[in-house]
Amino acid sequence: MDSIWIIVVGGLVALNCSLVGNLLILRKSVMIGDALSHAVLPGMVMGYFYFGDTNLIGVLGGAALAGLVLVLSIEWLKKSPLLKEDSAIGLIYTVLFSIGVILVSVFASQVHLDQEHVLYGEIAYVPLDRWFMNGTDMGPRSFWLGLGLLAILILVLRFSFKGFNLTSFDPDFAASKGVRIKVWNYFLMILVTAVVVVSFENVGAVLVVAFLVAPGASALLISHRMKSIYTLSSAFALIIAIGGFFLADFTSTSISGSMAFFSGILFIFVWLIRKRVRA
Amino acid sequence: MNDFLQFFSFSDPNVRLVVLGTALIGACSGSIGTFMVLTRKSLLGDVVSHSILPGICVAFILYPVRSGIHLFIGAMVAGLLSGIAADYFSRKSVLRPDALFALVLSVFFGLGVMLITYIQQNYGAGQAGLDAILFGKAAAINQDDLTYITVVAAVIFACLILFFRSFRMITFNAGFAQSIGVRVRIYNGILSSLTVMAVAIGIQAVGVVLMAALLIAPSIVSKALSNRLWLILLISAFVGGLSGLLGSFVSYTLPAMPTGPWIVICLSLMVFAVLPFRRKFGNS
Amino acid sequence: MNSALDIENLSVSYGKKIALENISLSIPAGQITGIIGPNGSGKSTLIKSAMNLIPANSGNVRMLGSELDKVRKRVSYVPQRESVDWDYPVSVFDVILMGRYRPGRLFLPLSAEDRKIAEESLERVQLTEYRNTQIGQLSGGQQQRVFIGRALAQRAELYLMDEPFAGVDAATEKAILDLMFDMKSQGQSIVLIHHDLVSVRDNFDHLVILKNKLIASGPTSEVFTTKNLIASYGGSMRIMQELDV
Repeated sequence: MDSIWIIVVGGLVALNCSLVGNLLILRKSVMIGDALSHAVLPGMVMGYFYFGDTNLIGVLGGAALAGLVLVLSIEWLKKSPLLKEDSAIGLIYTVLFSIGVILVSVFASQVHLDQEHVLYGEIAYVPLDRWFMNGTDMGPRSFWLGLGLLAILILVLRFSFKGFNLTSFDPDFAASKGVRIKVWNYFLMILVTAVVVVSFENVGAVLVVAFLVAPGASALLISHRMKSIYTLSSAFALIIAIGGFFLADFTSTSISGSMAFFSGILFIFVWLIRKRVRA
Repeated sequence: MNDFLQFFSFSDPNVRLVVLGTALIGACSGSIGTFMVLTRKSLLGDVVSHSILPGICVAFILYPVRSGIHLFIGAMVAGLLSGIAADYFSRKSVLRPDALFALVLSVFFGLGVMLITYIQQNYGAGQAGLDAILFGKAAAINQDDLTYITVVAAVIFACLILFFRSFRMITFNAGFAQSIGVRVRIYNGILSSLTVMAVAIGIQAVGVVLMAALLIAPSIVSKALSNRLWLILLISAFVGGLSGLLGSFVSYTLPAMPTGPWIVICLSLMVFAVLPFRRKFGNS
Repeated sequence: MNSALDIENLSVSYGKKIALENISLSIPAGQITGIIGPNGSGKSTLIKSAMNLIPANSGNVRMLGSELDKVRKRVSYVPQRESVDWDYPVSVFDVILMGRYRPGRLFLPLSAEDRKIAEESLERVQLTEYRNTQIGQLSGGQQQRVFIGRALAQRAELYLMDEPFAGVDAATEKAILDLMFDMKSQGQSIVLIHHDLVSVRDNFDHLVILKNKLIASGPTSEVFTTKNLIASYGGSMRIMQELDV
């Protein structure tokens, strides 16, 4: 039963990440997703510290604040002739992550995160952290969080699809019509932050990136239709969760690490067959 | 304050060892990183440094001693592989470099995490001491480490001096360099290998996760102070070395703390201090 | 005569580099206007800053007699073909449909009317058979037609086009020109950036010549002179002889 919960939660994390990850890939801003997945750490630690481990709003709020600091400071630094976008991203995210790691070390006794945990999560403990409603055991908390987020994402993307498509494909044209590019960009950053925060505990900062990029990148190898990219990447996300779990089980190693590694195997597999299948 | 005096008097031979090691590491990363920043490939350094993890783990499994030249070789192999993979896939597919960088980075790191858990189970968590590789532990630098760090640093500096003109040309205008018969591919290969070498020794102090900062930040500081490449390289090396020194001080006074984050914070403070300058001096 | 585009004292700079210096001009409505000048003379900058895509240091722009924000629906902008990623996973029809998107209604589905207009635009740029093709599979000329089709779907009155003939074969150039004459006959105004001096005289009613400053703006017959071209392009007389101006 525990294994099933881990696979289900891993699948939800992968699905959520791949949904926003596709948007990041199409906008060529995957590295911002990578940076966000690290940068939320100090905010989350402060959230844990002030509001307690179980207060989701506090943690989300702290993470959103840190994400905002990242996005704004990258934009601010880019204006300096000294930094280009890539160096600004590399600098700011490492600084924020450093602050986070130091906070984790300082508050080690008060916060349930540790240095390794922030990198690769603790998905194996998912079944232990359960959600009780009126004393009834409803199952793991991460499951309900992931499921709730998935429902919200599907709803939001359903309605904002046109806007994201327009502003990603041809931002100049969108702006010429009076569409607020920046607002859409911030909107996406908020979605990514939400996904990162909910996924962080399960798979950690670096491995969130695997789930953000691998399903969509693999799908793009064999398809250039938006609908099939979403279908394929969702399927790939689930395959990664299931395959990664069994790889971990077989090698008795870290589950999230195996899932990330398995996403690479999947990518190579799709790469090899890409000329024979075109979806 | 006592710690401060004791540390900066360099009377403790152990302190001298660590300081020398981290300063060399910082100087190498700072100068080599300058070329990555100039060619807007900063994030490739991030990819390489994360990707080094599985290489170190494999080297450790083959020859289970925590430090030494074999870990460096493992790191080199994995770092080069990741660079080649990122380059190959971005030339051959519709995917953009940003997506492929992130993919390579996380897949290699994922494999590294798998191997770390394997090592922890089979060799004992404390024995492996590999957690220091994630966020760095300057104080763990020993005499053996210092030997190969020095050798690697010497190679890096020698190449920088020897190939300075070629590197300047291929990073400024590769097309032109090609047209006058400079072997751009070869020099790019050398530059990439030097980068991987700098990263491979750098993780001792900063760790794989934050290594990118040590490549990027020094050159931002030096670009603010000069616009002559050789001077930029020198200042970058100095800034990198200085941050290594400060990092090892932290590591010395607070042994439980990982060094990497502190080095990054030192570096970022220096960046913010020079941001308003924009080349007011050295502008000749 | 009504004017399509009025620019007063427009100045734009990138850092310390001045791209446009104090441009004032007026482009008449219902005509085809060409903007010419050598590379780096600020042609694209002029259109982009007029559309408020890049900030201007100073200046005032009026389109169709009003502020841009009031008439956005009646103005269409066609970016340079190279400005987008043609590997993006959208079909020809998807892109043309984007002409019907409106900022306030992005969250709502498009109407049947919108789809009908997009189908008509698809037909006018002769891409019906490529309706569901991914845009990366098209030739340069076809890609340019996709952009023009998207502009047509906007049903605008003023079209600002950035190099619509760049990288286009002769047949497509002819087709696009015919389309433009057709649009003009319906009373629409077209302003386009151009770099082939040979075809200027036959096709443009009005001409703007730039070299970071305004060299000339007026009816083609009056301003397309050797003197103005030398002022803009410098003294490369060979070009002038070929043109026989």
